[in-house]
Amino acid sequence: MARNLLVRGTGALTEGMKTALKNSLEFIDAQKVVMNENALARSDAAQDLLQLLEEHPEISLQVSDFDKGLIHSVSRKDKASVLNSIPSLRASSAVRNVVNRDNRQVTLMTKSVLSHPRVAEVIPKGTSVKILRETAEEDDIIALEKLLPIAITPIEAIEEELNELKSILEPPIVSPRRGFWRSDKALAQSLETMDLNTLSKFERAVNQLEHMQNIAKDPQAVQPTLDEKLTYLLERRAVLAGIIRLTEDDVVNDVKEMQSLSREDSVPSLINALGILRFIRSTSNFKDVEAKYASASSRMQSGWKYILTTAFGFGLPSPAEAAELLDVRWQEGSKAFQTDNVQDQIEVLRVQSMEQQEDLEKEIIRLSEGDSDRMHNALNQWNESLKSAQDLSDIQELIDQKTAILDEVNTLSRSRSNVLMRLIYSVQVFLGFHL
Amino acid sequence: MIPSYSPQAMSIASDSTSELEKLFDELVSDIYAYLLHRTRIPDIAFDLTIDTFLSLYKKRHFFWWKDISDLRQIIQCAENACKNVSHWNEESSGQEYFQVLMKCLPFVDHADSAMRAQALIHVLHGIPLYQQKLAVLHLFLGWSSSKLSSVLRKNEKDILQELSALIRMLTEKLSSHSAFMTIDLTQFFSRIQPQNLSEDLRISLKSGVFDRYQKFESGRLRIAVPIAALLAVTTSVAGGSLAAAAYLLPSQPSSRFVQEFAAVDLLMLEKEALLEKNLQAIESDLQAIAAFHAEKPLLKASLELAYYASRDRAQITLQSDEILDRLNPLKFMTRKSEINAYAWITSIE
Repeated sequence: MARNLLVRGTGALTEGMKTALKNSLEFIDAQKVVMNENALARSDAAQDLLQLLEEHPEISLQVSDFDKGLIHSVSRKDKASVLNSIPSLRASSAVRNVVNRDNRQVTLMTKSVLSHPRVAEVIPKGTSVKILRETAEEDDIIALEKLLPIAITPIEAIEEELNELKSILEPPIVSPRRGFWRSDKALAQSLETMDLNTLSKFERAVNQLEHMQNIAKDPQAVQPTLDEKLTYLLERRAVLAGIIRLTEDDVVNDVKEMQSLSREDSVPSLINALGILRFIRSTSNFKDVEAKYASASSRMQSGWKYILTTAFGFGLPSPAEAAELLDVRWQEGSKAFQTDNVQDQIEVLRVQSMEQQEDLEKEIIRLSEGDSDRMHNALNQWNESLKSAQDLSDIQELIDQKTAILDEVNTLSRSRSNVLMRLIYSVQVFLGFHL
Repeated sequence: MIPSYSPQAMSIASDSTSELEKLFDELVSDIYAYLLHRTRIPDIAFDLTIDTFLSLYKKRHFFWWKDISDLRQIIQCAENACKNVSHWNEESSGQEYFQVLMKCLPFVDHADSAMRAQALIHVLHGIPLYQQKLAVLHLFLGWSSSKLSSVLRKNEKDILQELSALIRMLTEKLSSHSAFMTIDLTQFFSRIQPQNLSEDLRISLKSGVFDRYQKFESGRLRIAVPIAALLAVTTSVAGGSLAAAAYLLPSQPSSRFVQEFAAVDLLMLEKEALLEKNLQAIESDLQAIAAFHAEKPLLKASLELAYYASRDRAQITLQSDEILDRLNPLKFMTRKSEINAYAWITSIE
């Protein structure tokens, strides 16, 4: 309208007004050009931003799909308009937040590393930890990068070292939920093969450092108690050898090697010592000691005591109770099983089996012909095995076999009794009456 | 003849706080009147009223989830109570009811009233049972057609029809009687007065009910305690005998030997458990020493990674800052004025 007014001319406008109107229109035209240029510049910038997100997926992952959509719409040159300033404002704010958040993570972790009590041992001379920490606190990543000592070790070498040190912390603490959907081995492999950026690698290193700091103890303080424990192992070498099925000499060699390695300052030597120990602990006999102990406890306990144990959280029967029971029934037979003397233990088992034989035979005779023969054979075989037993693992096996035979005889014999006797036997087992 | 009751029962009777007492107070007048006009013997009506309330309380006791204040059920209960009353009972004490009925009937002349009462009893005897009940509820208790329809679970219209049929039937039968020849029977029926329960009788009934209720309660205990005692004794004797038998009889040798071998197993495993604990402690000591020595290389690695990470972050920050600055150019005008200007231009063009 104003333009028409100026072009057609009218007597109502003075020359001064016409000049003012013309100047205004020129100003407006100039502004329109600037705005169009701005819109096109935004489109260029949005395209660059998209490329940046493509190059850095860790940033892209944190930007919402909606904001990504806005960047896409701004990047379209054919639709560039002055109105793309608002979406670009929002998108740029979102990207800036993500970048700042990651920067803050780096500065926080750097501060944590710089706060470690032993940081002075590794920081190069001439670098002020105080200034570095203050810069980290200000969250100024560019200044921090300039102040931090320049790394000389390649990232791959650092990673290799971290993986080696990680074995100190093994066995890893496994979350049951994680194990629910993926095995730990698969998880570890997937973590190793994942192409992590420097921020993630730094994060892993800091976590590892914190974990180490939590468990680390001064070797001067720990070594004496460690030596005591290793000496105890040497004293019990016979038992240990029996459990892990090695000769006593092998056990002595292993323990002595662990002792000498534990005194070294070198991390690889200590990792080797841990390896020897973990091998011993991983043998099958050690793995399920707890389950075996619980099973033996339930067999030894009467029914009502078992209810008290399970329902009210009373403790499992102690070895003292087991020793007391054996002392009453086997004429102080507990002593042999509390020492490591295998021959004494075999002898006690032999004598007691002879004593039990008569009662057991009577019970077996009452079984059906087939069952009776089978149980007789099993008992004879067991007696033969007892003669050839040599070490603790043999004895453990013999105890397991005899328990299985006795359990079967008990079940078969009860199934042949009348209802009343079955009831009485159940009450005897429940109340723990054994005449 | 109204019996006398204990002071305790009387004190309970005078106290009307409980839910059951409230029910009694609300209904006793109607229940007694119903039973009186149905049995036509005041003493029996008195006893049956007590029986009815007692059976209601018992119901409440055993079927606590049921609503006992349902009027239909209460009337049914009262009807059940008077089922076994024989006619000879009525014959032997009919005079007493005769006096009561006379008081209900309108007109003051004693001789006329006596004749009319006699005639009315005679006619009521002769009509079917359902009509007898309906006559009692409507004429002597004064229940309206709506109340009757809710109690008898019938449509009010049907009840009205039944009532008019009843009145017609009674009128027909009574109009031939000399005592009713001179009066308007419809007016006569409408003026029959339901008799209010006297206060003495109400208290007597209440104390009677509570006295019986107390006896019922104590009677229950008398049965429950011996049964419980018998059960306890039987269980103890049986359990004790079983335990004694279990103690005295020899057990299965195999179950005894299982226990002995379990004890041996426990002693053997104890050594393994101790060794396992020792190995665990050694591992934690070794880990502590190794972690101490590993801290230095880890610190060094962490510092170097801090450099790499901050270098990368600084690079990304600079790059993104440059792009984001271009994304929000501030040439010549502010964004706000730019938008305002655009709007202005659009409007003037």
